Amino acid sequence: MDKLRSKIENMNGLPPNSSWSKDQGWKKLESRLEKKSKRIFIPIWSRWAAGLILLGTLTYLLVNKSSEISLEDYVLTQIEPETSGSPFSTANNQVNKIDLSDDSKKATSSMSSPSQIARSETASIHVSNRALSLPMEIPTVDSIYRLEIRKRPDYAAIADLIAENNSNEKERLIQLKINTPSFNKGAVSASSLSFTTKFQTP
Amino acid sequence: MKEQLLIQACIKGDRKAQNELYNEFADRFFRLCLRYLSSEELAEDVLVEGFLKIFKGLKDFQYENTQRFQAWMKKIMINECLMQLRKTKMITINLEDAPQIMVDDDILDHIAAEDIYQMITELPQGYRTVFNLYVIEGFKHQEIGEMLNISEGTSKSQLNKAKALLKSAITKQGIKYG
Repeated sequence: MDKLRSKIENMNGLPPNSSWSKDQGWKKLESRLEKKSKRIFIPIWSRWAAGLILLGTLTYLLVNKSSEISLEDYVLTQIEPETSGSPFSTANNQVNKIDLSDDSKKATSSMSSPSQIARSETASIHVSNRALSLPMEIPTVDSIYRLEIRKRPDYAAIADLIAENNSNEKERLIQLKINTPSFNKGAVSASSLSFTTKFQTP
Repeated sequence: MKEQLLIQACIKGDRKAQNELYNEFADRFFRLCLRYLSSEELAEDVLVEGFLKIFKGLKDFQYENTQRFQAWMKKIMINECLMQLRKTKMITINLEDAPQIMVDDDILDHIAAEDIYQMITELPQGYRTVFNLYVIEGFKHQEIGEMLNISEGTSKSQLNKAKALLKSAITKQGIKYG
């Protein structure tokens, strides 16, 4: 069989009855080579840069996601709230939006800050890292308005602080300082947010 | 151009060098492809694909000598043929055990090259593939079994059938011994 192998291997030229054209074959190959060389060349450094951008974006998204705190994690307890029909306004740059409910007894204070706190009637709040909004019942003059934020499931208090500054009978400033936890890569650390609200009594 | 220089030029995408390498080996590899495949059209397609792979793979090829270089190119071509056969499901291996037919290998050794080549191309696809891989390329039955996903025994029986068919063709046609 070795003889046969070398005989076949040493055959030169095309089979006698072949109609194949070597030049035609080259044209086909050349056109494929042309197509390949016309492909857009992307330098390696730009591939690395694209990879890094992608990695950065993913990391950013992951970190942001991890710092969001679920609605069910917190309970807001409002102590000694007193209601009145006072319109609610703000006197702090951080506060950028006030929504009054129809009966003017509830207001939502939204603020640009690293955190968002929203409270519903059931006293649940939502904390996230984008903005802070706090629906609250409008306190009357001289009332002490205290917020207590507790974290589920152990209800350990995180922070609450209210400072009041009576500028006059009809206008009051309430300063809230709320320490909220921020979650970053699994670690919990406290971050302090403060805002001031001003409300007027009728 | 010296082979190593030719390779370097091919790596750089020098079309003239690529054409030179093609012209040097196209006929031989076309013959090889035709030994595995059923038509010249398919053989040409596989030849083109094979050369594209060769040009692409040259940058990673460690040149030692011309024999090794040619063996490397040939392996690429054979792989391309087998891929084509698998793709078009052209390999149909009869799994029934063939009766052992004693074939005198010397007969095949004495047939003129062109005649035996022609007879090989006329073998059924399964027999032809095993015959090519074992007799011409020198692979072992175990290796063929892995390549074609068949058992070693099946490879042996396919070879036996191929030889029997060739012998029968020789007897029928009264081909003269070379």
